[in-house]
Order: sequence, then structure tokens, then C-alpha cells
Amino acid sequence: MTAVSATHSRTGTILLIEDTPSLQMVYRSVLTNAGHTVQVASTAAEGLAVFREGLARVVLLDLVLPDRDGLALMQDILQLRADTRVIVITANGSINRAVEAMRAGAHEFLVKPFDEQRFLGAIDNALSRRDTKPRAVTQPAPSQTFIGSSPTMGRIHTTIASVARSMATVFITGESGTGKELCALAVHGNSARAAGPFIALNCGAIPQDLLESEVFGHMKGSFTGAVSDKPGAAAAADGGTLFLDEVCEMAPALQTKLLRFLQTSTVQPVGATRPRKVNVRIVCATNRDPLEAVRRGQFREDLYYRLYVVPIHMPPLRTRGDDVIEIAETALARFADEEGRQFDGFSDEVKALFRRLPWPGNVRQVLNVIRNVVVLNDGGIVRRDMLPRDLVEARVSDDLSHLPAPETTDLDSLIGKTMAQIERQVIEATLAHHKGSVPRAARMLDIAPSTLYRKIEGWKG
Amino acid sequence: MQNAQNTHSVDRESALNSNRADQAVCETLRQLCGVVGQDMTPVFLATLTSDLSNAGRVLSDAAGRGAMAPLRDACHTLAALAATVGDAGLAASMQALNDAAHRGDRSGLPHLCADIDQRLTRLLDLVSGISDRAKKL
Repeated sequence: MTAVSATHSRTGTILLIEDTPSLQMVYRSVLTNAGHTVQVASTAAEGLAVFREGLARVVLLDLVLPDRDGLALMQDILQLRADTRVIVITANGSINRAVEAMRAGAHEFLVKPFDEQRFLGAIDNALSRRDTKPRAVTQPAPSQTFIGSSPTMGRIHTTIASVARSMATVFITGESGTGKELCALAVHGNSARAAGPFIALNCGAIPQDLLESEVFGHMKGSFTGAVSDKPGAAAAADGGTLFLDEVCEMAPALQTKLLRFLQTSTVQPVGATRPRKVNVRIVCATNRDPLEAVRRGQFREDLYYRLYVVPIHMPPLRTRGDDVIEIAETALARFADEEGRQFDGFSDEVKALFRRLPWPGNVRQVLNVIRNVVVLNDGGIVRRDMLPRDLVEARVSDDLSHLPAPETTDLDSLIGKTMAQIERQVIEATLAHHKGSVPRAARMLDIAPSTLYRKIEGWKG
Repeated sequence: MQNAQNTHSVDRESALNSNRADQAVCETLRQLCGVVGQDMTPVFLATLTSDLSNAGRVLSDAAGRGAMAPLRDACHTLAALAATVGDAGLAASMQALNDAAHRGDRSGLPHLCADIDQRLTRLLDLVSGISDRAKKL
């Protein structure tokens, strides 16, 4: 541990469970010097006995103990008092175990060695959440942002409720339009930092050369065009949540800086001479397979493991059963109200069609369709003829049988064809290989199913 | 002649690096002594020496018997201690040994353990040096 002067306002009783006496001495000294009361235990049994005394609400726990697995001890501690903040401390070799611990409800983990500032910062952070009434882990998050009562979405709500109480990084995956940002907002809104800022940044939409400045900020004059100081998204999210959308699109150099930021919790704006400590929870998202991006060398493996702590996969709408009807009905009521129209729901035929459609654009596509219906019609029950024509004709999965039979090819037969023709040929062959299953073909081709649906639609025109 | 010069240069570089690494460890140890306070410094250094020696013994014994579970436990302790006192070389060797233990790779253990033994002896010498200086103050 390196000594760094730091000011920390909150003090409390901390239970330190660490079996190496010299490390115990160092941690205890740092904590007492900062004004905390420290209870010390060298074994899991001793730690549990001290914890039962009921004084400590923050526990510093080494994962490797002589008499018992630290993770099992943590589960006992959380079972006794669910609002306890357990900070897991571990050596470099056991990062995967620390990730496991976060998933099991640890508040934070520190990898040895950690500097004094980071150590006390973690304690400070844990103590600051002590006054917040925790939500039971099993209780679903009362999120107003998600519509849908399918079992799949029920599980998503439960995961959000579980993860919101910790500082764990959340990694959201899912196709475009499945509600990844809403999920991030729900994690933020259900967390103890809900009163803090929620800053969203789309890493794929910002030019790479501006991204560093957007994330970490810059000082006036640090480069041409930097006419004033800019704090950057990481500093703006201090005390709240930083949502990094399309995180796999981040340039390698910036990935290194993001990793450093995650390790140190400090930001150094472009042109600044000193780093600044910030308290930010990271939630990130991608519509790609992040592990595949790692395998292809497009995404740093160490960053992946830092970020991929609690994964949440947003399911595509076509797998969510009747959620599509609930979403459509809610959207119809809302848009009708906004446009001053009176609609009386959907005909059975439309509902049946909605259930069958593949919805490649997911929830976003449903909302666009309903908006279109409300704007272009006066009211009443929504019938099939009121729907956008291209939607009714987009029975893509039914139409796949009409695709031409794939040709068997060798490379010579491709010469003379355009790239578009070759692409179509490969896609058609892949679809035929998977008996018309767009999701499976898309997975094999490493593209989003929505992209594949759009291409197939394009060929019809 | 050229080879001799290269060897000499590599030895010198290695000695310089070793010296720099030792300096980093001493600096970290001094910082840790500051954290525990002057009164507790002798106790801390004695405890640290005992922890390092004990973990080294367990490691050596476990490696000799090919017992992977105590080997991993000792690895964990030594890795944490090495990293805390700023001994990056020992920490890296512990990481390598831990990886080998997790893979169940027994063939590489003797070589890694010999390296660790050498580094651990050097670290104990440094702790002892700091301890002697602290006693004189």
C-alpha cells in the first residue's frame, strides 16, 4: 500500500478479516489513522463470531482464509444482515474469484496492492451507503421504464434489483432497440446513487479523436479547438453512473485509458497535470458479442474482465411472447394522448400479426409503427389496413422459402460478381444452411439479426 | 570480444535493474513503516519477516510434495506480501507459479521455486536491512 494523503469525512466500525498478520497490521493502521474503529479477525470462524456482535456494517474480507472459503463466509454475512457492505480484497491471481464475489453481492473488490487513497475511498463509499434503506434482493425493481410481464423480463427486473445495490459494473448486451439504455437507467434509478447524475455516452457515435476528450475532458488550450476547460463525461458522472454505450467500438488507445480509470478511479483531462479522483459507477452496453470482440483482438481482454462483472442480456422482442402487445397498447395510449386522438386498442387480427412478426428493430420498431398509426389515422380500433404497408409485407420469415436455392460455389465462380452479389450469395447459402433461421445465420455471419432482416428486405425492393 | 562486451553490458543492466527494484522495495517499506507508526515499526518488520519466511517454507514444502492446494494458498500469501512491499519481480514469479499450480503443471515447479527462493532471500535481506536501520534510530 502506498501512502497518499486523502481527506475522508465518514468514519465507522470496520471488520477486517485477513489472515496474514503483517497485512492485517498495515490495513488496521490505515483505517485507524483515518478515524475508523477496527475489529480484526484472522479466520473465517473468528470473523463470523465478531460480525455477530453487530457493530460492523462494512467488512473487509480476504478471499483466501485458512479455515474456510471467503466467498462462503461472505454469503453467511449477507444472510445475517443483507445491508452489510462487503469489500473483497484479493491478490492478483484471483481476479476471477473477485468477479464471482461481486456477482454474489460484494460491494466492491480491491486487488492487492492498493494505494491508501483507493482503500479509504472504497471504505468511504461503503459507509456513505449505510443510511440508504436497501431493497431486498429478491424483490423486483419497480421500474417504470420497462413494459412487459413475460418471465424473461421478470428475470431482468430481478437482476436489476440485485445489482443496483452494489457498485458492480454492469455489462448489458442485446440487439439494437431492445432497451439497453433503459436497462442502464433502471440500474441507476434503483441504486443508492439515483440522486446523482446519469451520463450516457455513445462510443460508436463520437469520432475516435474526440472520444478521449469526451470521456476524460480537456483543459483550455490543450489542443486546437479546446477554447475552454471541459470536464468530460467521467467527471460529470461523479457521484452517479457513467453509461458507455457501444463500448466495443472504443479505440484500443482509449480502452487502455478506460482500464486505468477503472483501476484508479481517477481522471486526467487532456492537458491536465494532475489526476482527479471521481466516484463513478460504470454501466456499459454493446449490440455485439463482447467475447467475440476479445477473440478478434478488437477489445482488450483485461478490460473485458474488468467490465463484464454482472452481465444482463436484453432479449429480442420476438422472444418475449405477449410483451409486444403490452408495449403496443401502452404506446398507443401515450401517443394518442400526445396527438389528441382517441384509439380503442387493436383488432385481434393485428394482435395476431404483431405476435408473428420478427420485429428486427425490436421495441424501437414497435414504437415507430404505433406512432405512424396514430399520426396517419383518426382513431377507433387499429385494424390491419391502418398499419404501415411495409410492416404487413415484412413477413420475412415466411418469405424465406422463396429465396433462390443456394449455389454451390468455389472461388472461381465468384470472379466477375460484384461484392453485393457475393454478399447476397453467402447470406442466402448461410440461411439455407440454417433452414431459414435468421438469428442462427446472423450469429454465424457475426452480424446483428436486424442487419440481416434489413438486407433481405432490401433485396425485395 | 563483441560477445564479451555484450555479456558485460547485460550484466551491468541487470545489476542496475536489480538495484532500482531494491530501491523501490526499500522506499515502499519505509512508507509502510510510516503508516504503522514509529512505535510499531519493529513489530511490523518482525511480523513481515515471519510471514514471508513461513509462506516460503510452506511453499517449498508443498512444491516438494507436489501438493497443489497448500501451494496455491502459499502463493496467495506471498503474492499479496510481495505486491504490498513493492517487489514486482517476486509478485510476477508468484503469479507464474500460481498459474502453473492452477494448470496442474508440475514440471515447471522446480525452476519457478528456485527463482522464488532466490527473490525471497533477497527480499528478506532488504527487510532485515531496514529493520537494522530502524533499530539504530
